[in-house]
Amino acid sequence: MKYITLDGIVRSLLNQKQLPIHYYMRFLKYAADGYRELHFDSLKNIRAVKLPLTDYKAVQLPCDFVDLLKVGVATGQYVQPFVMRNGINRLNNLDASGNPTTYGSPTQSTSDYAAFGGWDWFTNHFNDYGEATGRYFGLGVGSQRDTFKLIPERNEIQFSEDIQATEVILEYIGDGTCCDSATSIHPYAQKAIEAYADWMYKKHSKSFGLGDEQVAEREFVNQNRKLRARLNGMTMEDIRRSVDSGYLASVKI
Amino acid sequence: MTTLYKLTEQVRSILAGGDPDQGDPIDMQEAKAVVVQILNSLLKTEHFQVNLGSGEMTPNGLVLASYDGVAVSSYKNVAKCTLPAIPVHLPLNMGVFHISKTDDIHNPFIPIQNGLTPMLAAEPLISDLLGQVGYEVFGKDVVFNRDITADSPAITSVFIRLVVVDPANYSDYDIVPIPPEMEIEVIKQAVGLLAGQKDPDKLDDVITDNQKRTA
Repeated sequence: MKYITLDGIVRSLLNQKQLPIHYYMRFLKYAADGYRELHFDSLKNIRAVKLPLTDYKAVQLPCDFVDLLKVGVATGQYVQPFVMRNGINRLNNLDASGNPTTYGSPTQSTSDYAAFGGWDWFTNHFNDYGEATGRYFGLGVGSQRDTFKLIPERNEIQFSEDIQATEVILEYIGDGTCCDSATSIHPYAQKAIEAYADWMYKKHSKSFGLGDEQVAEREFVNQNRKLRARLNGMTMEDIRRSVDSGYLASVKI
Repeated sequence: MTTLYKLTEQVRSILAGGDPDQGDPIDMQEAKAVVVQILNSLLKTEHFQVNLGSGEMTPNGLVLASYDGVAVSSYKNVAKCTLPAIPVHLPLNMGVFHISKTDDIHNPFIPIQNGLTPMLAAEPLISDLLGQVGYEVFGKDVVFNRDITADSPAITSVFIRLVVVDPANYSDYDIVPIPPEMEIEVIKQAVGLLAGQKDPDKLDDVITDNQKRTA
């Protein structure tokens, strides 16, 4: 895929404005800030990593983590996502040495409510032929094991201690400041980054008035809108597939 | 088109009211020094009034002096070199117009405003200036952002362009790269500065004059 570099964008902007190289440092800072801002909403530097679970069923967040998109386990070529559960304790349980450890199943004396870790095996749900007969009256699906909670102050994601997986797949939005970010910028973003740098230049310069700054800001908003439109990959087929997915086969009477 | 010698000679002729004789109080070297100082002053004035007035930030190419093979030495944990001349003072240190490797003059190093290197180091994406060499100017020293003498290949000399008319670069008969319209202004200002010289002694005595100068 073709990319452009931050250096190329800055030099292009200096060329447009007929400014000498002495302005490079200033515009480089503005362009880097613009690139970071665009990452949060428009460019969305989506990264995916496979992370091992600790003994107490948590994973460490990557250093460039900004926001979570999906976390789950690999199921063939797909990722089965986990679900956020707010009831998970934010605090680590510590052992006698002060190391984090699991909480384990709560006993009657240590909890107010018995935990629903799963459902028991009752023989009256199967007939003599081994066929399931159902009759799981009252069984609900609200209490599941595949849950997690994002805990920013620990820089971790804590999972339910019942999960059996040893690795999880984390998809997240990065802040775009990894080592190859400056040389791997989507070409669609060039005008938006240039417009942001121009806006910041006019905002922080005494040579321009409020009106110039506001015009530059509007130009950036316009370029950002065009960037999002260009990156929006929705097609007619996507819309039709989405509508068609609501139709299911039914009994013909 | 003119030379330093021609400009100086014109100044002396006007002051002497004709061809200056041996007893003329205005020394050739003294007049030439004044002419050079006025030239540099007018270059800065022209940049602010003509260039900036029309929205152009780049100094006129006529006023750039080139210096090749300026030595670079290791300095603390970075490197530095010494400016061969003190340039005209312009915003953003534009007086130091260009520094690059001697064999790659189309890839200039990046000028950094004084004191901004620590702020730059805190920026995660651009802390190393995207791999480029940056420099700050402190007085007559140019300090680079890393030790370029330890690079591979090592950079031990640089090519520098300064905004200055450096008399060391021009002999009496080299054409001085100044705009023709500036010549008369140089002469006027030099005459104005030197017109207040003391009247010479009536006696044309070279030995006494020399004694007075060395006293």
